[in-house]
Amino acid sequence: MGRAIDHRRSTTDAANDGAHRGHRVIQQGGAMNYNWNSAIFFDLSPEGGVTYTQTLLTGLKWTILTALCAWAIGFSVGLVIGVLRTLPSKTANLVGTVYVELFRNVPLLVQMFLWYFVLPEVLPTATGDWLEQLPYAPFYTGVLCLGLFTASRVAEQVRAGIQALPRGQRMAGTPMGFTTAQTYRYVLLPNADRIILPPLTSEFLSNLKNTSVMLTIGVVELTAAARSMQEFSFQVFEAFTAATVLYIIINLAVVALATLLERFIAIPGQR
Amino acid sequence: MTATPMPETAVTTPIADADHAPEDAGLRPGGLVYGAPAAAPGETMIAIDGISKWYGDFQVLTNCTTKVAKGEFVVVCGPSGSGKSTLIKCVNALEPFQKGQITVAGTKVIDKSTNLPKLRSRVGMVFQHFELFPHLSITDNLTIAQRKVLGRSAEDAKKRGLDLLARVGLSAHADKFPGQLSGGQQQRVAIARALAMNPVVMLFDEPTSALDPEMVGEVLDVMVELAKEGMTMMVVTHEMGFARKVADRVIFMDRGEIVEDARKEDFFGSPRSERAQTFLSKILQHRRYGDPIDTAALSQPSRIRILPMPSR
Ligand SMILES: Nc1ncnc2c1ncn2[C@@H]1O[C@H](COP(=O)(O)OP(=O)(O)OP(=O)(O)O)[C@@H](O)[C@H]1O
Ligand SMILES: [Mg+2]
Repeated sequence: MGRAIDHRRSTTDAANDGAHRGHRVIQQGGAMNYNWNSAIFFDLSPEGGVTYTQTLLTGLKWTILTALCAWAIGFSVGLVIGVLRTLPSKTANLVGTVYVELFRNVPLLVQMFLWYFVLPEVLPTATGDWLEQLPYAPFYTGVLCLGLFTASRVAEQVRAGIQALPRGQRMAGTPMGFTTAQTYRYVLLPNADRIILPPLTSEFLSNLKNTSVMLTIGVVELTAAARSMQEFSFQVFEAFTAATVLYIIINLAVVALATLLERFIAIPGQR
Repeated sequence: MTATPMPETAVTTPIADADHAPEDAGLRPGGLVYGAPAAAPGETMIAIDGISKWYGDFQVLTNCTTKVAKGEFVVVCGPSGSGKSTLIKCVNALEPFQKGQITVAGTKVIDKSTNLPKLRSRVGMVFQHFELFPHLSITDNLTIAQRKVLGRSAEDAKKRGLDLLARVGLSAHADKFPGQLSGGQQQRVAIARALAMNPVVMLFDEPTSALDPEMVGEVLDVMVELAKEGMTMMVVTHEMGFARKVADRVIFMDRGEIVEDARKEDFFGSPRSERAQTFLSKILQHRRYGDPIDTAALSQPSRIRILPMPSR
């Protein structure tokens, strides 16, 4: 138990300087004689006089904020890239394909490190320094990184949705005098969007869960908050049970909203 | 249908209304210009001049040449795969072609200065599978291109759309969605949608082939009315009874070539080519099992009441 957790510790986890304390305690006690303590949630954390519950909720707030910002990027960039892959232009296809294959085939964790640690080094010194000094730099970097990663996945859904439309429907706007852009805007995208809502919901959930990777660059989102609680309080089960429950609740809420949305945009008379 | 009087506004809107649309600025000089002096009868609306088209190595169209005069009703027929659909899709540049030229109301299809979306907006097209916009209500189907392509106000577009919906006998369905209508009703909406753009010509690609037999008549009725009002029409169809009744001319295609291009009487009376004779005899053999289309019914008054053209 203790070894496994120790093994998973991120070497870059700078968020918690109390890490070694948690480490020691877990090694002493086994899972069998673990002492569950519900009251721990109301204890003050050593970080600035807030309870552990507040620590977790602040983490949750960052998780949600990150997920929404990353989704805004992921959805809009993904939409453009997905459309590029369906246009008649070979250049557009190529740009779209290169983007998708690049961003979806490199592990998100590696991308996170590239953006956060490598990018400032390869940029001109002044720009790199400026980036590193930005307030909330880890947050902005994480949002951008996760957003662009999610975009590659959204793009694939958009492309699949457009290509799933009957060929006749793809052509129906053109003889009415629509330009290509108008055909996409008024015919293809509204119909494709309805097809891809369920897979997009999955992508949104992945995006939300992927925010946890940002703990590696120092964003104290929900997972990092749970880890911090574990390391200050030594209550590993309480901390991660709480995180698990919060993740499930928020994801179920997303699923419920998506179901409502699906019903709202359903087209009368279509199966 | 006939029991309810038509809304008064319908009277002012002829179904074929090529010459009336004051707000349109036109394509380019000599092109599809609204408000230009009305074309004299007999003026060429579609000139197909020696076009050839290949898909890779496969030649779909071989040196096709024909003309369609204003107000003419031309039926295109021929065996499956002979290139009928391809030919009419070339007319509004839905399909590119490699050789020859097509001119629609004075506008060349292959020409850098031609605004293709604009040209297409004035060439009505009706497909076998209707191709209504499934996510839009019938009213929105009728108005969206008027607003987004012709730039009409929502109010004008709606008025014109609903007038035409009344003309094809579907006023009661304005707020429904395509998936809630029968095939025949959807095809009538598709015709109204094309007419809403004030097209100068109408192209039909097997408009009744996907319909249950009992719905074929209601769509053909609308087309007959349209022809009576002087719309220029090019129609790919297998309904030979209908062709015999209402066509002015018949174009017979085989293996990408226009084999016969004749007045209706000549084509059905004495087709010159062997290929056309074989084609017709096959179609006539069908009739042993009962004519799918009751040609006599076509001379009956329409079941769908379409108001007469207003006198000008
Ligand atoms: N996109 C395409 N690529 C290659 N060949 C094609 C393509 N579209 C059509 N063809 C071929 O071109 C020929 C003409 O097709 P077209 O659809 O114009 O025939 P048609 O006369 O309309 O037939 P039908 O009566 O079955 O509708 C056919 O042999 C068809 O296989
Ligand atoms: Mg065809």
